[in-house]
Amino acid sequence: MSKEGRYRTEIAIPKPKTEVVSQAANIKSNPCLEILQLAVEKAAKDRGGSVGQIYSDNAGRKRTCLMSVLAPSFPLGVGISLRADGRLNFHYDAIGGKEAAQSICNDVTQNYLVIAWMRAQRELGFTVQVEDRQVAPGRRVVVVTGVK
Amino acid sequence: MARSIRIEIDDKGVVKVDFSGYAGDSCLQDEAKLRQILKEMGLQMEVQAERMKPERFSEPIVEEIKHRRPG
Repeated sequence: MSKEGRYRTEIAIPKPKTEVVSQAANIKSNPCLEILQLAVEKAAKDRGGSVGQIYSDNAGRKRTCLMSVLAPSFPLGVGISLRADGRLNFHYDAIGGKEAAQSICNDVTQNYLVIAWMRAQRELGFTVQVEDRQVAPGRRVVVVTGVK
Repeated sequence: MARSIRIEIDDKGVVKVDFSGYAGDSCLQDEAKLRQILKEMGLQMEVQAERMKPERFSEPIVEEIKHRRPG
């Protein structure tokens, strides 16, 4: 068979049904937030960085957020928050290096999609393999193949 | 024949999906299930392009030919 298609994908994380009691409890009770955390952790790990809940501007002002990636390539950090409709908002001070920050944003989104597609295919009983391809400097394509 | 789903995800959030090895419309059922699971995982997909591949029609056509054979 069968069918092929191209889709533009957006992440919109449903709001937790219960009130937030703590970051850890919130993530545990919401699979989408758990995926987001894994996506953020991978983006940080790939850059030798860390995950936090703070990012800074160029003047040294610190701001809190849901999650943040702090990396040597962008030490001010990229913050992530959720809009009212569940879409992701990325926050960073572009003076710290717009390209490096944008690369972190793209990676978090891409990682989220990869994890979601892997899990969805596994849920349907497929055996899943992942291949990470560098297609240009700073650009990668991830191929997720499920076989049943 | 093994069924496979190949997903290519670029860094702009564009996803290319290729279903292979399916007979008839069965890929549409898997596609619908995947969409539902992905929706629950917070993914909203907007179609940019879609097309059915010729293999989709191979099995029913073979069946039809067998059916028409005399004797």
